[in-house]
Amino acid sequence: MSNLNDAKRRGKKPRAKTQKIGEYGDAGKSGKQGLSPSLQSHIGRQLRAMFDGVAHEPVPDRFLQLLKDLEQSGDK
Amino acid sequence: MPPKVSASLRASLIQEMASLRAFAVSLCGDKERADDLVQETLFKAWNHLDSFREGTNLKAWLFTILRNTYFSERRKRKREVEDADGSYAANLATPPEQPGHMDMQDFLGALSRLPDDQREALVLIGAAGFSYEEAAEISNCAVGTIKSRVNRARNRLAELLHFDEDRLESSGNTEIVTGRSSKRA
Repeated sequence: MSNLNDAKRRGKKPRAKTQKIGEYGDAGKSGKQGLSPSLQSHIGRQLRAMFDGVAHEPVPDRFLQLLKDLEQSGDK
Repeated sequence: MPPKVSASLRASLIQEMASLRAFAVSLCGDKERADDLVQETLFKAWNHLDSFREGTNLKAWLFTILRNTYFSERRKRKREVEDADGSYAANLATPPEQPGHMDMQDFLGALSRLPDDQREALVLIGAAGFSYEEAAEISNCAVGTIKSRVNRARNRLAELLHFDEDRLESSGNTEIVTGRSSKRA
């Protein structure tokens, strides 16, 4: 994996003109564009699942406590 | 001097805490650090509420404070210790609980290996629900820059997670990048 990444990093060159449209599997390698809609939405779903997973957790008490403290310090 | 805060503004502030926290976790990949980051953000926000115009986008305002806090802290840290991009993944002590989503941790691990600016753009657009224009304002860059960052982020993620069309068809259990084992050799 890491070798692969390094190779890609080194091999950063302009996208070959011969890249076939629709060859989505190679999209990551060529960098710029071309993830298929289904792959994009798959990544999107995972991203949202991760984000929403955290967002749906109860808010830690310390945040609410902080607001209370700040408010009280303002009252004095 | 803390301002007099209206009840509605206070309620909105509380309402945004959860997504602010999700943004923090997405950015720094570590819940403990994320919570510190949120705390600092709330503190700063409270003390600068007079500079916030009620009726404008509170969420975007809070996210801006949080990312500025995160990035300035990160720059400081980078100067102290030369921080390889793998360190973030190694710090993934407490990934979000996602029963039934065994690969969520791997996803967060892969996300962590993106360059900061790409990760930020992807999360703002793909998860936090901001428009490109709003994201550009939050990140203080051009709309086109956000777009290209999001594209690069997606491509890189697909690469890191070994996503390709075939595997996508065959199962949800994609081959995994373990994230932590592979600090770049």
